Amino acid sequence: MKMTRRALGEAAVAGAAALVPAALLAPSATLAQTPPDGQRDWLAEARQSRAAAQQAIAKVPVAPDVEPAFRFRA
Amino acid sequence: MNDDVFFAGITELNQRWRTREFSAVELTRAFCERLEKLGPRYNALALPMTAIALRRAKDIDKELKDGRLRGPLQAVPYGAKDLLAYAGQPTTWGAKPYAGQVFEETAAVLQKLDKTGANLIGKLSMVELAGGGDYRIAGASLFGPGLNPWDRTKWSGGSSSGPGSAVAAGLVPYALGSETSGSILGPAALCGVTGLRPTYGLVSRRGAMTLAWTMDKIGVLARSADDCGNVLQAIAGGDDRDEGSAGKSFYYFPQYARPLNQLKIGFAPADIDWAEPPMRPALAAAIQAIGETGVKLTEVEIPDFPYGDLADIVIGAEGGAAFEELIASGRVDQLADPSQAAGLRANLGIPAKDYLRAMRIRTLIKAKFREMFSDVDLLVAPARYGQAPPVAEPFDGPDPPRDKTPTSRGLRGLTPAGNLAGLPAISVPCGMTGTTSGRMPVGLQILGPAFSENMVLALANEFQKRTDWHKQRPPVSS
Repeated sequence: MKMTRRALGEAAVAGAAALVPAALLAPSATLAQTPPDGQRDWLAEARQSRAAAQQAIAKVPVAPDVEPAFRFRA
Repeated sequence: MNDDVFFAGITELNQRWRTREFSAVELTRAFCERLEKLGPRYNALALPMTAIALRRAKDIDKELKDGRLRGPLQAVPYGAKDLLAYAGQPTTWGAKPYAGQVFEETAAVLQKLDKTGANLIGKLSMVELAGGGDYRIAGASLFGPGLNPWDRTKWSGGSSSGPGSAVAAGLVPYALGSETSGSILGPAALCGVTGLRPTYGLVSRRGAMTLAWTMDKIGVLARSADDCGNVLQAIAGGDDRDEGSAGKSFYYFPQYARPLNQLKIGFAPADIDWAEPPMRPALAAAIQAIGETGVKLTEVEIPDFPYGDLADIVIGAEGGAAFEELIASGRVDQLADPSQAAGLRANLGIPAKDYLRAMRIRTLIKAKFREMFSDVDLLVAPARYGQAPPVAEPFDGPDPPRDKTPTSRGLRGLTPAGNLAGLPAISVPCGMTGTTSGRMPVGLQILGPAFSENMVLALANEFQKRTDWHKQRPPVSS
């Protein structure tokens, strides 16, 4: 089984926060200069971009007997 | 310690340790001090592991005293992208919602390197969640934007930003990174280091963050193809606890790969025109240098598929599922890039039929590439067609106007194509843009059939014997 975040208990999260050096969590000067872009509807843009990708792949002909790649091993 | 040590290759460092020019403790301390001092300059450091590494170095020195030699990685420090778990230490995945996350088990690849005597000195920064929600700013990371050692106003690439910057600046001799679609090749090309993405399934991902089960790969960023080969041998191998594992090992024997004069290499002249103008002289010279190795160059064109869209659908659907709990909890809004949070939410709306269609088209892509590799042995193409963008500008701005209209597709799209097909590729530094000021690295990609790493590395080694682009150092002052 792959290790995922589900293996993590909340207690461990709280206790470990102190291990991350505070200086490393501070945003850099360059990041602070990034404009906020507060006027954009990010979710609408993201949905639009995925809809465009879905339309693009719908144009690729695929015969019914073509199976998905990378099936899990038995 | 002389600055040359920080830019030496793995084999040289190991040799100098074995001949007692320096101890593992001295070498480790020197690299740890440099990583802690200069890492934050590039936003490359996620977590210093100096105390652990120095304790480990003492044991490694004792092994030398006892005559217990374990191979070229022994005593050599390295870094790891912060999506690889190390037991008892924070593993942030570059994302604020996971800033205090700690696992109880160390990632398989780190365990494997530990057995070779390699010494992990720090976790390195990355784009949050490896960019699974479609990031649009360099600052999409808990640690701030990855800054390029060649020019700190430029991006280091992502999502393996820290590994790219740290290797380029001589903060670690090599680093482990990961690639789902371009996250090793991109930073390697932009930072001027060598980056190897292995065949899907060759390296265990146990203990690594999951973005897309059918596309995630762990690989290496280092000073040379030879270093990448030595590290790959150590980290490759089957793993019953990784569902994607191919159950194969890798032995680095490029000298037994087919002679270069028997190889047919596919390339596309149109690729030069697709690249941004300042990159073109370097790419053209690199193709010429590849031809001078004795291989036969032949013109090819990439099979016609919407690779970028396919990768978006597969990574989106799998990444949305992998991070479903984060999205449902609302903690996804803690990400630094609002576009990523929105992207992850939108990923949950990708219909199963479209995901399955994309996966079925991957079957066609694999077949087309198998067909192509019955005619040519390897492909060469630009690792990236654009230069490192400024960190202060979003990536979704308008494309610069084109000065040329390429006459064919060339091999454009090879990075998502290679990732969709699970094929191995390496990016080698192949030149610099400009002449004096504003020089930035350019990378050449060599891609081969599944499990052809020795052949890919053999050509990359020969290219690096004939050029010195991989030996160029950015202007790092300590």
